[in-house]
Amino acid sequence: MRVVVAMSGGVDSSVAALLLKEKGVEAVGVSMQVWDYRNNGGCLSRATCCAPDDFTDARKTASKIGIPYYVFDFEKTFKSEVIDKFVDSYNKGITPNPCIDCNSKVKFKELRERARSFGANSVATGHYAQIKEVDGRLRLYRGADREKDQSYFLYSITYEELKETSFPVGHLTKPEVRKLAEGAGLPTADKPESQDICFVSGKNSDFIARIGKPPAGYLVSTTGERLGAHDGIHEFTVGQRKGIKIGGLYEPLYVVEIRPESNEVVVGTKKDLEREKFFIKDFAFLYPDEDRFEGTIQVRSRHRGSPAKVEIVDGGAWVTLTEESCVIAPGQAAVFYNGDELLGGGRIGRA
Amino acid sequence: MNGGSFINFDANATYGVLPEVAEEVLSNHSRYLNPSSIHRGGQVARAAIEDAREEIRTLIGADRRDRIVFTSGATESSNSAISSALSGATRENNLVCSNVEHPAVLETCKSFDKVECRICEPEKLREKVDENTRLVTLMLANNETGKVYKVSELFTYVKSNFPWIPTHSDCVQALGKVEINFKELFADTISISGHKIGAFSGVGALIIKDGAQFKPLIHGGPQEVRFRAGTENTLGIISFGIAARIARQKFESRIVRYKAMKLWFSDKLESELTRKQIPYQINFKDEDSLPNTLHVRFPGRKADDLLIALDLEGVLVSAGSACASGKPESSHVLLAHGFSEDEAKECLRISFNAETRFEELASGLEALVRCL
Repeated sequence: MRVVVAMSGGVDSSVAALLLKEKGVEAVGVSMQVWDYRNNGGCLSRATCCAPDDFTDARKTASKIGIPYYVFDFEKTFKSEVIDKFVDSYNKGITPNPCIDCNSKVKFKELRERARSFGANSVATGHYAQIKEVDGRLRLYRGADREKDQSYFLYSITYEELKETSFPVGHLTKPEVRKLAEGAGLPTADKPESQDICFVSGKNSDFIARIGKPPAGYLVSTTGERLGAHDGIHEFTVGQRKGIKIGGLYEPLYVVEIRPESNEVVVGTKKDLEREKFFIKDFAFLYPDEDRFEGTIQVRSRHRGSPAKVEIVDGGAWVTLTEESCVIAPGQAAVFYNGDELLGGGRIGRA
Repeated sequence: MNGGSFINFDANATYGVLPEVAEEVLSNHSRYLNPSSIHRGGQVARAAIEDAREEIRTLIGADRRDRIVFTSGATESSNSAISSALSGATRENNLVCSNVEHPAVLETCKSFDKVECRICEPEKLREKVDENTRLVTLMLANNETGKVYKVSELFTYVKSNFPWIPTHSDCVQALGKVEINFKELFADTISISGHKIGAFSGVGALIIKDGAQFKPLIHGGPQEVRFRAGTENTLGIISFGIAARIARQKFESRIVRYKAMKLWFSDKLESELTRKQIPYQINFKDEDSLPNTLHVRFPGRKADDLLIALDLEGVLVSAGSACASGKPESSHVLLAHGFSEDEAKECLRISFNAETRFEELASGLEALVRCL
């Protein structure tokens, strides 16, 4: 079997490639050129991935493992499906999810199509998530390393795609992955973690400002009172606490709403952000068996999950939190789990 | 992965070191010292370099007074020739360069932003030349399409009307595949490269016509009669000499072989594809072209993907010219020939090596048809 393994130049995808090769799979390493770093302000920080130096690491790793390696140019798709949406979200005051868009539109779509053209029918990545067959069907689970779990970013994968996907490091912990890389002498074994969004070096707001920054406006209270000025709504996301330059109040202030039409940023207390019921749209569901069910909902990549009831309706689903309210932000992904099994997810709509 | 079990249909990128070249260099010449040294350790190295120089002179039909200057490769050769020709040029001056040149020439020309850069189709170059021209450059054969250009005709025109204008030709792809007669080319300088004929990579030569003005690009020691400073790449140069000798001795037989290979391959490909109803288009078919190069377009099929499919089958081809970054861009050469961006990305270059055996040719063809 011929499998394409998406190699970012990081340790996780390096070990994914290694494990495939050791299993006797015909692995083909591929890096995705998604952004022209030279002509877009550079991206030389070691904290990001997929920059030219990372391709060198991926190339060295592929050669060490003994698999062929190619670079694919996905700049066009990445621009329209990820970057443009990212910028658009900020300008509309919605929290962006570039990693989810990249997975669904680039890694598991265009990469898969190109892989097929040379006889590779499966795509492997270094994500911390697991695919297992239980009761005669494939299911997607959180990565065994709960700290590193990345299933949240994969919720929009379809069942058809699941059949042709593998996550070779999903059953491992990060220290185990590093140990395997070390044991095999991979050049990426001690490479630092990438944390930021791959195409942004520095602050997100600086990136947006380079492309076209929205006008300045006012910070207002939930009752409409003007509290101060700001340099543009791109500097804020809902739920944000840092960077609100208003002091002298008893409680910490958060961004609770962004109004792009009037360039107003509404600030309030944590209570103003919390919801017990909300709507999600762009709903993707791996197992559409029932219209109502209970499970855990995760509303941010670092959120531990809260118990919730879900009711699927036309165009989306209503979520009711059963034990605790949650801080939510429009645009952010909300993903349902039953235990560690991922059931589906969508984007949180405007309140 | 190992380097030994491939079928090389990408000889225009690099020919591959000839086993007899590697063998002779390593067994007879590997203990040489610095050719500039006065002692005998240096003398033997110097003598071997001079032998190589004569082999190259003979291969390209240069006169004994013409300069054969060894360089790090044809890119350096062309950079040297172009910057020498343009030294002292002012804003009133122009250079005339074809639009199908290799980046080694094209990008170098463009880098002289002080001089007006007149880039156009090879057929229209002569119209662009005037008394303010400081350089006319046209390649002898194109690396991607394999097309051979009438350099001698153009340069004869230039020299008979504007005898002072320097003429330069990139002869990298032509070397060993078409007859090069330096005397009849009317070029002041030509660039050639070792690895395209089976020598090591990292060695090339710049040939300078006797009496032509030349200003070195690289300054330093007195090596290469002060035309090119820097300690000589002795083993590379010797490998170039041996490969040049083989290219000369086997020239006729290789041409016959190339022609037979290309004819067999294209005939068989056409009949297979017609039978299987796969659309194709053989480009530059009836034009004067390199005997080892076949340029095919498969409409609706991305050449980059086909290249990978073939690579995984052990068959090495090229889609456009080799690209160091690994990032594919539409070839400027194909765009210059009127292909659209999309069409250019559907073109595959198959370039044979004279050492390719018939069985390899047949199995390479089989793999190609299978991958389509």
